[in-house]
Amino acid sequence: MALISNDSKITYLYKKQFDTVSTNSDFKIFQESNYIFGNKVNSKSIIFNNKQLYRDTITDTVPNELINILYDDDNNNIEGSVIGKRCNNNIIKKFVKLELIFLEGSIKYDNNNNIKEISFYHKRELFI
Amino acid sequence: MIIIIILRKYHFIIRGSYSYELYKKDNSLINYIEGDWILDNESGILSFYDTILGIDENNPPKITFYKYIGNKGLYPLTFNSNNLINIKSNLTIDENLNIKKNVIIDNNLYIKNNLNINNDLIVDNNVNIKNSKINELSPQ
Repeated sequence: MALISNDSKITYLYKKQFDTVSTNSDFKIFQESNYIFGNKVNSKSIIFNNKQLYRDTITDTVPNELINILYDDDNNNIEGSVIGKRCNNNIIKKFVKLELIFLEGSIKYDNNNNIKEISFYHKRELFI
Repeated sequence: MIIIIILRKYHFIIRGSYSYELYKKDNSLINYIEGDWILDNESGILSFYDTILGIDENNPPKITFYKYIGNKGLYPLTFNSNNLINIKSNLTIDENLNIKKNVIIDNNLYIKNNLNINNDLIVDNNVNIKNSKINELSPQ
């Protein structure tokens, strides 16, 4: 098990500094696209005062009712559900085992043809 | 836009942690050092920087996470926890100001239009009236 190489860390931070996503460390910054599955994604924190300031208090620990849930808000199996489960005060929602989607072009192989790098995304529920 | 996974990768609480978890397609947990993964909370992209068995383009990982769904933004602005708001310069309000408790003014109060009082007017000192029209005056 190797740790993330310094080159990969530097590339990641460099792209992030300029608000560019990192899907493949071999890609130059201008080769990365910030449009993924129709979403404009930001890599750097931007505060939108009408949507990113959270007014409600988030408890220090997960609300008890979400810890061992089996069903989503529609009473279907929570695993893989994009509906998710709301906590009692409607501040936190839990999603369980949502399958991510492979990002074309993100894959990178080593000399033995093993996957060295790969990236994934989800087109809906991870975003506001 | 921003991803709303609440807390970071390395946030350990035995019970009740908001940490997110990754799983392989067979539902086995991917631990924190397996595959050297990074989840970018802002863009939502999960990247593996090392070979990991069971993950490829046809076998994507799964994620369990918590998302904030409460109120967002400044409008309407409500301060529930703050006891005091200090404004050290002028405050201009173009429309009404509704105050449900007392107003205490340390200096003069100028009213450029009518003053309607629905209840008693108690004056501790003089009253100078330049023009008056009193409908009813009841002595005490």
